Amino acid sequence: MSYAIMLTDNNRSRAYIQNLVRTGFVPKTAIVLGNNWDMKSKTELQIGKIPMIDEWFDCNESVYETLLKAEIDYKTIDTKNPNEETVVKSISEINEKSLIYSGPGGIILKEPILSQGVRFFHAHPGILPQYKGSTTFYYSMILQQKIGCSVIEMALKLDSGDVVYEYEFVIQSEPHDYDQVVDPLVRTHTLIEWLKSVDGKPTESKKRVQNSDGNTFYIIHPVLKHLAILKTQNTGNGGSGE
Amino acid sequence: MYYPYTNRDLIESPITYEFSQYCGIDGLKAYEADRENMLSFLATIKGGTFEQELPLQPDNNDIFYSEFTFRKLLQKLKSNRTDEEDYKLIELFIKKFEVSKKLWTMYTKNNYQKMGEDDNLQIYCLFANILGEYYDLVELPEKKMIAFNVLLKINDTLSAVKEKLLERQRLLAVSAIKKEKDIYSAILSEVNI
Repeated sequence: MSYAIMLTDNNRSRAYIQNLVRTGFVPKTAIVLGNNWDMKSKTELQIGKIPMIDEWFDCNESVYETLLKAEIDYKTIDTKNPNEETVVKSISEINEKSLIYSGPGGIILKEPILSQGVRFFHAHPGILPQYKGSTTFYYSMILQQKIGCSVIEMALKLDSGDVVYEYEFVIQSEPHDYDQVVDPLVRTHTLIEWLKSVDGKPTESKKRVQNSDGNTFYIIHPVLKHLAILKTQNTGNGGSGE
Repeated sequence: MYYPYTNRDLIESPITYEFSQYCGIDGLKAYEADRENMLSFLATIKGGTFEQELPLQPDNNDIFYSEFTFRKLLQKLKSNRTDEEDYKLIELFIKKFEVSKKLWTMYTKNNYQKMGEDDNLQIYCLFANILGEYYDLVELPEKKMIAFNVLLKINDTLSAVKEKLLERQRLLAVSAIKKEKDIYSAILSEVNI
């Protein structure tokens, strides 16, 4: 395995790093944005079994704890902005040629971070180019009764990089879990299936889908979120990736 | 339970809708009650006409006047005389509203930088009606959903300040809420509750 990972200590990053370690796809090095390791902030969230997803995670284990246990070299940078100069400098100093991105959401990476000789890969919870933007899995639950996830190589324009892997799920879960559990686990599962497909070598990834056009969605209104979840409660299970 | 998205002036204090809480059927019932409440409130007020004359053509060609353009656009949509440029303009303002949760009275014409005021409710009423018409005209289900998402948010904005709506704005607001209700009912009918 020779890739790096960028994390911020949230549920998505916790799900990523715990499952990457568990499945043997251990990153060589990690950059953690933010410096908010708070051992006291335990949550009551219960991670139940989600159909079609083998992965699970302990939402009370911080990324720092997992990195220490797995003996992964990591560097903490006290910022939430991945475009900051200190972050760019750290990227330019790593030896790995590819990086899995799990930094703060909703931020578009700008130059010069994308031109440091490192390919950035990101799991986006939507099939592209149809579902770009935010909270896209709720929209696909309404329109198609399924959730898609795409691994893309990040580009300057939001969700417009080359798609290197995609996976579709039909999921029925506890309704409260979608933002904090289903979303992280859908992305995690897709990342792991992608890594399996390239034998743990992200740089072996090839473009699969033309991703220049498409629709950009924005944060879903609560009424649509309710309709999406209620609609999904009556669907079956299944999933496939390519 | 109550509907928590209209309990303050959203123009003064916008909400992001991020990680909104799921409350099951009760959440939808609270939303329906909010909209019924708004319609009942607006029904108590008489007067006003829906079709109004266009404001005079503004004289500065470098400025995009939202009210003038939106009114003209709404007329075009209603008479099915729109072209690709009209759709691009609507999609641009969908993005503008989603990013800031506001619409301004004016924008620069070359790059649509905001100008003027953000609290002219006429602009919000007009754009809500534009979205209702756009929803019917666009074919892609994804585009319909994007438009409905904004319509819900603009109608939240209007519902939160319903007491401030002027006479000429009330019928536009009623029309926008009724359109939203129709779309909501159609989607709801596909959900086996």
